[in-house]
Order: sequence, then C-alpha cells, then structure tokens
Amino acid sequence: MAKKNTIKNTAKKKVTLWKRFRNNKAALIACIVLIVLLTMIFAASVFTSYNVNTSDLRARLSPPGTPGRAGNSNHILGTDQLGRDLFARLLYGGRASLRVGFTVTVIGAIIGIVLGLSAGYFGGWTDMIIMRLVDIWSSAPTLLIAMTVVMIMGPGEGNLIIALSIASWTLFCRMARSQALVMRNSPMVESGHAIGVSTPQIMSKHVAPNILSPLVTTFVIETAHFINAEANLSFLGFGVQPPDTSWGLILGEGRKYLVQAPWIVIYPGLVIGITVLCLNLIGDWIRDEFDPLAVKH
Amino acid sequence: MVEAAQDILKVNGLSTSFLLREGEIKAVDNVSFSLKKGEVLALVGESGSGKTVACLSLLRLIRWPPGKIKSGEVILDGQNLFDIPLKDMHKIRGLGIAMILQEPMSSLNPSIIIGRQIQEAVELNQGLSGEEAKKKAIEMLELVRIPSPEKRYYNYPHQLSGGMKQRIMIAMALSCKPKVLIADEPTKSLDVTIQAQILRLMQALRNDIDTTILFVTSDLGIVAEMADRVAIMYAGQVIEICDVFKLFTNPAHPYTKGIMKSIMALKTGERLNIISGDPPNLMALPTGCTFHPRCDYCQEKCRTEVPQYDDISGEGTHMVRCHFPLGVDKTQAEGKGK
Amino acid sequence: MGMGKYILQRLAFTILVVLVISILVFVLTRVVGNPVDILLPLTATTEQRELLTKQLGLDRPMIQQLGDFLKSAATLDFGDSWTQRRPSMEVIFDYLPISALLILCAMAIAVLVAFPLGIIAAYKRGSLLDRFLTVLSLVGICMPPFWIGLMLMFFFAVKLGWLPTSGIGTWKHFILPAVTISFRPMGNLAQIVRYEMTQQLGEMYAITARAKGVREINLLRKHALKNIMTSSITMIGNDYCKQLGGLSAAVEVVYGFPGFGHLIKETIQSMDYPLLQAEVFFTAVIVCLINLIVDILYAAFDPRIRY
Repeated sequence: MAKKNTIKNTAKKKVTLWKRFRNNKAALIACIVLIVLLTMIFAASVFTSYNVNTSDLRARLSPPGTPGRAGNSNHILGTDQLGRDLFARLLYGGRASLRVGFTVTVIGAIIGIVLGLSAGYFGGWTDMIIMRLVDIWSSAPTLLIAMTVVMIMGPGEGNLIIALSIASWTLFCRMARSQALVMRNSPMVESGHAIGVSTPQIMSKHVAPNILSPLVTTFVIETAHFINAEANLSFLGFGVQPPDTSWGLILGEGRKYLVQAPWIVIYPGLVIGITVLCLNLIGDWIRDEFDPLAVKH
Repeated sequence: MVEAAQDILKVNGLSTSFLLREGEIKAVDNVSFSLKKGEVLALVGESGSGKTVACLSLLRLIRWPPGKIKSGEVILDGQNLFDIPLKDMHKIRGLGIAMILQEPMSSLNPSIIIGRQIQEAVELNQGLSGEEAKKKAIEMLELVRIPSPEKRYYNYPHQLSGGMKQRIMIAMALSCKPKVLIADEPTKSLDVTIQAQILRLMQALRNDIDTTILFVTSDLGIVAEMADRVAIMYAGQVIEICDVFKLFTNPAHPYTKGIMKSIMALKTGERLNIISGDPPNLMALPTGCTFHPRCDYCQEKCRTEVPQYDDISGEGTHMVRCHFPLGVDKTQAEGKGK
Repeated sequence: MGMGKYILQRLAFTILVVLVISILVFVLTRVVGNPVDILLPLTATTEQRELLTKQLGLDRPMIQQLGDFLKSAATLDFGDSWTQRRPSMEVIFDYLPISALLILCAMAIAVLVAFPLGIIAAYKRGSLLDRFLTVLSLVGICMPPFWIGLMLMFFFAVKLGWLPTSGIGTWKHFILPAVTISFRPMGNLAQIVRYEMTQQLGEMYAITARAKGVREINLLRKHALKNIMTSSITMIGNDYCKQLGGLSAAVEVVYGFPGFGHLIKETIQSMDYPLLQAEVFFTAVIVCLINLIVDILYAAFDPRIRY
C-alpha cells in the first residue's frame, strides 16, 4: 500500500523520552508507584521503627491503625499472629521477594543469552542441540522440578534462586538466538560491512538498539513473573524460611488467620499484585514505545 | 464518454493525512474529481502519490490512528458520505461503492472458502440468502471465467493461483452490484500474461454490466486501453484531469508531459527521458508547486506560490494545477473561461 | 508429511522428554537428597537407618538403581508410594482426574469470559473501555492466584456463606477453585485475543470485507475470530499444562482440594520418591499429549496447515 512507502520516507524527528513517557499515563503512574515502593523497601528503617521479628504476643492480631504499646508508633497495617508489625514485615519481606525475582531473571538472562547467541552464531550442531534442549525444557514441568530442587537442597532464599533459575533461561535463549540469526542474515549488517563500517560500529549503532528493546521488555516482565513465582513457592513452604521473611511467606503463615485477621492476608497480596502490575505496565510501555513499527498520534 | 449523464460520484477537496509522532504526512491533499455514470476514470500516479489512500478515503476505510480524513466531501448519488455516521457506512460500502484491492494474495480471508466469501457479498448487498445466494455466488464465479465453479466454490484461497484470486476479488466486488467500482491496481502483483487476461476480463465485464469504474493504475498502457478520462496524481494532489485522447496528444502539466515522454521514447526508440530527481518527501513538501524541484519549466513563481486548480479548456473538461500549463497562454485561457 | 508420520515424530519427542526429565529427577533425588533422613525420626538408630536404606534399595550402585527404575517405569510400574503404601499409579489415578477436570472447568470459564472481553476491547480499541479492560486483564495475570483464592473464600464462603470453604463432594466445591484458577488464563487469553484481533483488523482481507459492506462487529466475529484461533489455542494449551504441572497447587492448598497439585506438594515435602517419579512421568506425558492435541486443532482452524 502507498501508505507504507510514505512512512518509510519520512524523516525522523526526535521526540524526547520524557515526552513519550508523559503520554502514557498508566506507565507513568506505574513508575511513580514502583519508585515509591522501592524507596520504602530499601530504606525501610526510615519508614518504620519496628523490627521485622520483634514479636509482642499481647498485641497479636491487632487491626490496622492500632496504637503501638509502650510509646511505639501506630501499627499502620496491624500486626500478625505473633504481634509483629505487618507494615515493617512487608517492607523487610519485600527485600527478599525483589531480590529473588531480580536475581533469578539476571541468571536466566545470562545463561539464556550466552546459549542463544552461540546457537544463533555457530548454527549447525550447536544450534540443534541447544534448541532441542530448549524444546525439551519447555515441555518439562519446570515448576515441579524447581520444587524438588528446593526440597532436596533445603528450603531457603539461595536455593530458591537456584531452583527458579532453571526455569528462567529458555525465554532469553529463544530471543537471543532469533536476534543472532537476524544479525547474521541481516542486509543491514552486510551492507554495513560492504561500505566499510567496522563490526563493533555496526553492533553498537545498529544491532544493539534493535536487541535492546525486546531484551529490556523481557527482563522487566520476567522479573515480575519471578516475583510472583517466589510468592507462590514461599507460600507453599518451598521458599524463604523463617526467621527470614518474604511476601509469599507472610501470606503462607498468615492464611490460617484469614477469618480473625483478614489484613494479614489482604495487604501482602495487594503489595505483590501492585508490584507485579507496575512492572508489567512498564514492560509493555517499553515494548510499545521502542517498537520501530509502532505509530502514535 | 456520456456527455449528458450526471455525476454519480463527486469528490470535492478531499484531504487525508497520517498523523505520526514525527509529523503529518499529507497523503491526499485537496483532491477533487468526478465520475459520470457509466464512465471509466483512470487515476494515475507513481507509487506513494496517494492513489490508494484516496480510494480508501472514499469508503472511509482509513484507520485512525494514524490516518485521518481531514476535510472534503464525497457525494455519491447526491448524498455526502461524510455526513453519514461511521457506523452506518457499511450500508454504503459494497452497494454504493465496492473495491478491488491490489494484492489478491492477501486480500481474501485465508480461513474461509472463497464461495462463502462471495456469497457474503451477495447476501449483504442483493438481499438473497441461503441456496439462492449460493447459486448466485456460483454464477458470479462463472462470470469471471472460473472453470468448474461448483467445485471451486469450496476452495480455500491458498488453493488458488494469483490470477484466480484476483478473479475472485472481481467477482466479489461485482456481487455487490455497486454504483461505483474502484479497482485499485488490480493487476499490479500479477505476471504479465495473467495481467492481460484480467484486463481482458475487466473490459468484457465493463461492456456486459454497465458500471462506473474508478480505475487506479500506474501503467499508462492500461489507461489507454481502459479509460475514458484520466486524473494524474502527484504528491497527494490531482494535478491534471482530461480525457484520454487529450492526455496522449496534448498534456498540459510538465509532469504529465514527462511521463508521456518516457513511454513515447520506448516506442520511437529515443533515449529514455526520465523525470529527474526523486519523488517528494510527503512530510517536508516543497514550497509553492510541489513538482517545482523536478520541473524543467520551473520559474520563480512556482517556488513560492501554490498553483490553483484551473480549467484550461473553458468547458470543465481539462483541469490543470500549474502556473504555466504547456501549450496554453494562461491569461488567454482565463479570459475565454469568463 | 503424513498424519501418521507426524504423530510418530511427536511420540518420539514425547518419549525423549519423559526420559530426560525422569532421569534428571532420579539423579537429583538420589545424589543430593537422602529420603531416609526424612522418613525416619531424628531419634532413629543407625541399625534402623541401615535397614530402611536396604529395604528401599538405596544401598546399591546408582547406575543399577537407575537401570531398575527405567525397566519398571517402561511397564508403568513406579513402585509403591512410601507414604501411602500402595502402588504409585493407583495414587496418581486418585488425584489426577479430579484436577484435570477442575482445570478444564477453569479453562472453560476463562474462554467464556476472555473471548467476549478481548473482542469488545478490539472493537472499541483506543477507547477508555479498551484501556480499562487491558488493565483489568493485566490485574488477572498479576495478582497471586492463591491470594485471589483467599479473597474469594473470605468473601463468598466466610462472609456470605454461599459456597463451601473447602473440601470436595458436590459441584459447589468446584466453583471457587475453578474461578480462582481461571483468573490467570483469562487475563492471558483476553490479552492475546485483543492483540491478535487488532492485528487481524489491519490485514488486507479485513479491508476487503469492510469494502463489501461487512459490519465491524461481524468482521470480528465471522472473519477475524477464525484466524486468531491458532494462537488462542496455543495459549490455552500452555496454560492448561502449567496449571496441571504444579501451578494449581497453591490454590488447591487454599481450598483443601485433594487434587494433583496438592499431591505434588505433599509428595515433594515428604520426599516420596516413587510417587514423585510417577508424577513427573505423568505431567511430562500430559504436556506432550496436550501439545499434540493443540497441533491437531491447528489444522482444524487453519486450512493452510496439513500434516
């Protein structure tokens, strides 16, 4: 169609990143919420005077807003079954949840990209073996295997990260391979060579921007995914163990008190959901905004 | 040409733009033309000149975002299509104006048998249903010379060749019994022998069923064979309209003359005289006359002033958008017009 | 490629997957973990430990154990479950069908809700409703399913008392778990339906259909829907596999639903190796089976695909 030609012919006018960002309200809100959340989690001691494991059995299951005893500040979100301040536990527990989600994705990205690039770059047998492995892995019950790994190595944050990492590399591997293939066969790269542009130059100026957007998108969304996975496994008792804490664990321990003290269950779930939602919105935004084919008014 | 007949389709000042992040693309800019009942008007221009967008605008099939019809009116049989609510446009499409697209390979739904797709057009526009509609659909297949139509009715698009698919597209458009048929480069993606077959078919059909056709093409050979009148498009504007004979003997716009020269050169064996320069960037159009950077006759006025769309024949049959139309002393022509 | 050859190829791949995964789990459990520590109390004497090790055959060389395991696994005999003291196969057949049914119900709910929502969003694309539905489907994906389960239980079972809180018995026990499980596939499906639909609406055939007078809503329902079936079915198949492969465990635990997910959790926690091996075997087989069904359904919806 004539339309397509004309779009290609157009000169690109630079629009600042900030302006693009401002146009997407959902992503903007998501980003602000996430920044606030991260600040609170990493500077937890500024926002709460309570300790994560200081229990006070006389104040157990107090509803949100209960004044603290002995001159302590209010229990903003109430207390749990052992009288620990829920707000403090959410902030400190968030550290483990985010750590697991992030680390698992980083490990997955590194393994996946290395394997994927070598599959795409070397081709032939290397490619066949690696991709067969990816196929098999995609058909495997990875969650079941992850649970088994955690159980035989002993539950805990470190082992949980190892266990989840076995499921996090396939997506990156597929992506890296397809990008490597595109790179290898791209007329852009070939013509670049033909007019004497060096390989690093082609890589940094032309190939990297094309890979970066899908990579960042996948990374953000996968992080969200594994924050959820951590919650799931910790909830079942396969993850972080007391005295450490994480959002999933708070839920797992608190679920028995759903009827007497619903806040123990409601707030951690909301925090997980909001974090994951924000990450997804940001990931979607990156994908839409940096897709060279996307058009917006 | 049918002189007495009234205009069945009148397009006035149609402008369609694509609003992108980087800026506005004026794909169709202030286009006006009209079609009399029963005639064939060819819309000619190089690719990217806005022919397809103009056609889709007539049917209001421009997708927003990013495309938008900015102004103008399309009057079909006395009714302005732009006054109709968009949700009622489906009543006009098909029955009022039907369209054959340029890409038969992807213009049919891959997961529905072709017979059903024709039948759907019959049902929507001829008020038939069930067996009757099916019979009609098979008739239509026969009309476009599809062998063993009863069997072909059950074929999926991927089981047909490109030429066959374009026949199906023609059958489907004709099943709508439209007042105006738009054929958007129906032979563009077909190979030469199939092109000839399809053109012959269209000519035959044109005589059989008395339809008004807007025939979009970039091939002047086809224009000579098919059209009564010709509209030349350049950079989103119609720059010249006249009847076919005049176009080939006496083009008035330097651009038209340029393309004429390039095909004449092929015939006479002269050195091919192509138009210099590149098609314009629609996002940063030249000032004044959009053609001036490539024009051999360019003068100072052309660089600064936008030319009017003028009648140089004095009877509304030859319109040109040029300050200095060839073969005409403009001041004289204007005097004659008054 | 003939249908028979295709199925054979698929079968070979299934066997490969099952073999690789089974051996992996076998080696993992034998090398890293020791079930004796779990089965016996901490106070058990060395003699008791040695006796149990011998009884379970854990004293023999690893390769021999693996050989024996594969030999009997080939006849679908995975040995007796250590915790339930009956053949593992029997245990599986007690738990698997009910979960398969539960997840099927959840998928049905997801399909029934997601398709209309996705189609409406595509029809009204760019509108406020579209944006709302897009965020809503994201919420369905992002909220932890077990939390949704707890919330639904709190509201409908505890507060309103309309439905039973947990257990199994009547069809009413299915409603809350099925709805809970359906959230994530629903969100996934609504998103893919909306996305694919808008893609389809930009296709040339959509312009053809509009040009002959087809209404926009009929274009979605009669023309585009059929063309998005392949990607939708892939998504449904994937989600079904994931749920049956352990994702439903948390929800089943919340509702005390004695299903396959619940069984997986208990098995792994009690290190019941024979039962675990049987579970691994069955999930892998089911995943491959569902992928096969998905491929066959492709051909039903896309006339261009023939095997």
